[in-house]
Parts: sequence; structure tokens; C-alpha cells
Amino acid sequence: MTEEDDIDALAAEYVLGSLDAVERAEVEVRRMADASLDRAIEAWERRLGPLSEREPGVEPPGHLYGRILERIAAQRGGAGHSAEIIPLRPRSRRWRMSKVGAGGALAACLALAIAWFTYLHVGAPAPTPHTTMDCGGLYKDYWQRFDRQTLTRISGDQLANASRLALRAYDACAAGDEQNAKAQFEKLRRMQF
Amino acid sequence: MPLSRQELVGALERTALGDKAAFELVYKATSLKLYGIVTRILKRRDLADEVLQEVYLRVWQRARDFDPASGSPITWMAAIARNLALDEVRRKTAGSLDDFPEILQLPSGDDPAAEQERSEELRRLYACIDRLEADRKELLLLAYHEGMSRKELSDRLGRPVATVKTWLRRSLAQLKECLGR
Repeated sequence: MTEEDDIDALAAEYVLGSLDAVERAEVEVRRMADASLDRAIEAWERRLGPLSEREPGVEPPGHLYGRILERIAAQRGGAGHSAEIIPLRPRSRRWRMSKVGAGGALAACLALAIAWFTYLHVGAPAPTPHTTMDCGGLYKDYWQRFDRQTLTRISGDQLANASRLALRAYDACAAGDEQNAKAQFEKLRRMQF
Repeated sequence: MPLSRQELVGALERTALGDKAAFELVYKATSLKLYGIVTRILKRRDLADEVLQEVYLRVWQRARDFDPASGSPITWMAAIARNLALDEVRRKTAGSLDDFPEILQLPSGDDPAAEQERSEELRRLYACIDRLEADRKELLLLAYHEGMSRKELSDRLGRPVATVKTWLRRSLAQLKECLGR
């Protein structure tokens, strides 16, 4: 089986829904750095998507739409603005470290998964009040540099460390400490793996 | 409230500009189906309610990412709903479909009435799915609609996980070849 077949099979199972939690996380990480996987996933979504037509549907509870509007209102601004990226903190530090400790390429992949999942797009964004810097953009740009080659080389501990430093740099940026944030992002960029 | 594909595309485009009335149209036209998709995967009301809210928050935030040239709006929204529900069900324990008396059985593959209702895309896909052996077809549809993992499928069918993986991958490769794209 060629690597292309392998990527396609992984994308197919991802869209089908048969992967377990770790495999799903790995795919979600890899697709950020691997355009061929991302394209394969989109192609499988188009192929299998018509199956959703078969779903007869269930009426959602009446109060849900109100809850959605409240959550939209709770965000600053509205749709139509460019989405801001903010880091999403891991829910549990212990969880993060236990995964990092798993060893080998899987640990590196998991650590990167955790790192990737530490940011998310939020809509409705207003500029961070304390700064004119694009803190989310800087944070995301930093993680974009991790391609598949780096991924296979890097250790879980190194990634966990980079993740901590990147969050610290983001926090400095969001707090308006531009000089410190710039220095920290620069230090991160210089880190060799 | 049914909307034509074109009307739904228009409502999504207006949603991308922050039009809440258009967003409400999108919600009314699609929430029945999307709630069905997430409940079938999660089988728990508390999780389904939470995930459906997340789905529409994403739709509100990312409506501008929808490209009508690349597929139907409902397929785009269903992919968001399935991905969020699948991520959630892998983190939490799913419930039982018995807790959802209102969830309907999926239409059977050989129901002529259901056949009439199918879009051209679904007819073409189904023609390919029908070429699979019966047990492999069942595996594929259980994974897609109920979000069952290889392990869950293996328990359900009493076959080793490795066999399930091989069957799924072969079936998917066959489908791709049959669809010719």
C-alpha cells in the first residue's frame, strides 16, 4: 500500500466515524500540517455526505435556539468579522502530562495534538482590549511551522515545553506586554528541534 | 420549515454577514436533521443539547467558509455536526437509543418510497453501497450513522477488530472506485 493509499484510508475512516479518540486527534493534528490529508478528508466528506439525507431527524428542545443566541451574544461583536484565535487551555494538566509520557512518536503526536487543541477559532471577536497585536495570529503562526517531518523528529517532552512557552507568550501579548511577548515568540521561533 | 438548497445557501451567505434573521431561517430549516444526527451518535440528551449548541455556534462563526461550489449546505453543516458529535462521543460514554423513543429508524435501503425521496447524489452513492456484501454494508452504515468505533463494531459483530478494520477499508476503497472520484 502506498503512502497515498494510507492517507486516503485514514481520511475515509475519519469521515466514516470509526476511528477511536486518539486516532481522531492524530488525524485532526496531521491535517493541519498535511494538505494531502486535508484534501482527502474533504473529498470523503463529499462522497459520504449524501448519507446524512437518510436521517429523518429529531425535534430539538424549544429552548435550545435561545441558548444559542445567548452564547452568540456573550461573544463580543458579531459574525462577519474575521475570527480571532485564542488558545484553549487543556482542561487538566495531569491529562496532558500523562499523554506526553506515553513515549515515542505517538507521544510526540499526542503532545502536538494537545498543542494544536490549545487554540481555537472564535467568531465574534473584538480586538484584545490591551493590545493592538494579533496575539491569536502569532500563536497560531508559531504552531503552523510544525510540519510532518518535525513531528516525527520531536519528542513529547519538547513539544509539551514548547506548548507551555507558547501559552506564556500569548498571555504576555494579550496582557499588552508587547515587548515581552515579542521576545518570547522570537525565542520560540529560534528553538531547534 | 423546508428551504430549497438555493434559499439555504442565501440564508447562510446572509448569516456570514451577521444577519440573525437569516441565521434563524438556517436553524429552523436544518435543526431537525442536525439534532437527529447528533442524537443518533451520542444517544444522550444532555450531550446532544450541548453539541447542537456548539454546531450552530460554529455555523454562525464560519458561515463565510461555506463554498456553494464544493457541495450542498446541508452536507457542510452535517459534517460539522458529525465531527463534533464524534469527538464528544469518544470522550464520553454514549447512552442507549432506548432512551430516545422519538428517534426514528433510518429508512431501509430497499424502501421504494424512500428511494423516490433520494437526491441524485445519494442514489449514486447507494447504488455503490448496495454492491457491498450485506455484513460489510451494515458495518459501514453503523459506523456512519451511529458513529461506532472499530472496537464497538467488533463487539457488535463478534469479529476481531483487525477484521473490522480490513473490511471497512476495503469497503471504502470499493466505494471510491465505484463512485469514480
